[in-house]
Amino acid sequence: MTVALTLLVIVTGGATLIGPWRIAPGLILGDIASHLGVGHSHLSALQSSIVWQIRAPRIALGLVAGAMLAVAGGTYQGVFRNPLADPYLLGVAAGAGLGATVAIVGVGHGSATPTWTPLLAFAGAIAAVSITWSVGGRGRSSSTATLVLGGVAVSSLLTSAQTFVQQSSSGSIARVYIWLLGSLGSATWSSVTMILPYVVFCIVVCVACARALDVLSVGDLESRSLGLPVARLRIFLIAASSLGTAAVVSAVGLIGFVGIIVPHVIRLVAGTSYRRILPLCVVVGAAFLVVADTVARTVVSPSELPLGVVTALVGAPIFVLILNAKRRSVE
Amino acid sequence: MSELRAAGVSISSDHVTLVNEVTAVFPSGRWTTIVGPNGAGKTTLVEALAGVRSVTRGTIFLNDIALSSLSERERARNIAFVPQHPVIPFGMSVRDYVALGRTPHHSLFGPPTSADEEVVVDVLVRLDLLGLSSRAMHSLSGGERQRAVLGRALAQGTKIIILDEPTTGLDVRHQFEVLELLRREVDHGGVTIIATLHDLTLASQFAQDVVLMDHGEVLLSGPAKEVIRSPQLAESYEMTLRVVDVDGSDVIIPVPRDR
Repeated sequence: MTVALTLLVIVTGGATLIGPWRIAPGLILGDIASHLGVGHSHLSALQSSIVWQIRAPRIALGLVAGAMLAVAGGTYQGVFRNPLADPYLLGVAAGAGLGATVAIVGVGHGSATPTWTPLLAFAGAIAAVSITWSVGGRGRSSSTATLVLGGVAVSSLLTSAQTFVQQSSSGSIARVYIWLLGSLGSATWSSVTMILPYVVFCIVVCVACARALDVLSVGDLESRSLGLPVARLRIFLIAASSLGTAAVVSAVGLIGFVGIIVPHVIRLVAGTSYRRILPLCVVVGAAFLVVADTVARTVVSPSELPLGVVTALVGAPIFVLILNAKRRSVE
Repeated sequence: MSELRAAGVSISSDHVTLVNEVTAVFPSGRWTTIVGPNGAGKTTLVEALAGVRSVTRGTIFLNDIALSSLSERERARNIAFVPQHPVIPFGMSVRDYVALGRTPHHSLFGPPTSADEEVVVDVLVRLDLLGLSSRAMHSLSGGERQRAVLGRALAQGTKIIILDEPTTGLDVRHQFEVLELLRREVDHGGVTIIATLHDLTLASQFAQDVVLMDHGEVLLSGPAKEVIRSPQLAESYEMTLRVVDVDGSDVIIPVPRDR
């Protein structure tokens, strides 16, 4: 945990210092120090606003989104007892995307993102995960394969519905499209404060239930015999992690694979107990997304890669590795 | 006192009746074994007795209180359940696994209390698991693993333990080890045991009472010595059963009928 926290501080600091607009790191450090009441800032007004109005909110949004996506992924994996469960694979993100698109296009008339966008995104997310679960996750014959296939089907359906809504309103196509690719580029302090309450609430709930998730690892029947209210716990945790995911999706669009890479890397290092995995997900998830975003905004500078592209580039191979290992352990 | 009683219990799944109108008493402080051919409904019945499966008709009573009226936690403080094939969580240590038994006693969100920890250590010592306590469950041998599973059930601290085929996959020595360990809980701890067993000899040697099930119904129940000698038992298995006395304990030898 200490190692992970140190990593987070270094990553956050590093990301603040790096950007397409070169500002000497020393000046930024001096400016931060002056905000803490030490010494004087030598940043110009322009440089100061680049750091505080462009980079800082973007990093803050990255931290919040990364932590939430990783915790949601870890929670879904525990709830479904399935190592490949992830907000994106289960169709949750596609559902949230549909909800958010409806909010932006239909109700917001393509102008500003309404503040209750996360709630509509949440409705979409819950609808999606319920369909996926009822199609592929229930009953004794349920397996990783049926759940993931159910998620794929639901994702495709909801993505096409989302495209339909998006295309039917020409005024906001561009905005929806950019948002959809997943980017922290439009981050402002207001987008951070919009999702922060949802995310904090959901992370606290999921981390508090980590012990219950450990109990759930012995399966439904046995956890019931141990006094766990399995059905209620499952619904509660799915709702919490879907709400958090929906809030993140409505602010940053679709960024896949964070919820699958981060918990699995943590499992390799820290073991399989959710009491360790979920708190570490908060820290490592936040750090991971900030690093990915720093890569996204610097490698092809002054242009930018969509953040979803970077996470997919790292995530897809890891996903294949997990699938492979899982298959071997089953056979 | 900790008695379980099934009153007119029927259980169906997908319109198939698995357990039909079962009425039976599992008396406090005794070991009752349920025997019967495959598909007799034994597993379904014990799952319902353990409260992890709902019944379609009828009621299961725990000391004259309907089991379904208890909360999950209350029920789990009274009844522990060991399924035939327990799910072994990958990477979990023996100690953490045994500690799962304390789940109904401490808050779901907080850590176990020091009293819980003491119970866990006590069980680890009693079951000779202390040396294995930091080993991963999935790395244990079958016998060690089954001991850890029993450890979880004992750590639950219940007066009733229900087990579905607890000797599955174990060699003769480990079968005896597991059953003797449970017998100690009955004799010294006043625990009520309800277990299904395929091995009729083991059933007669360890159980005080035997219940015979077939086609989802209870055909016979009573003291072990009587039930294993009843013609109905042989009839259910469609076999001839010879009961031989070896040094005071019954040994059942099945013989096919056409020989």
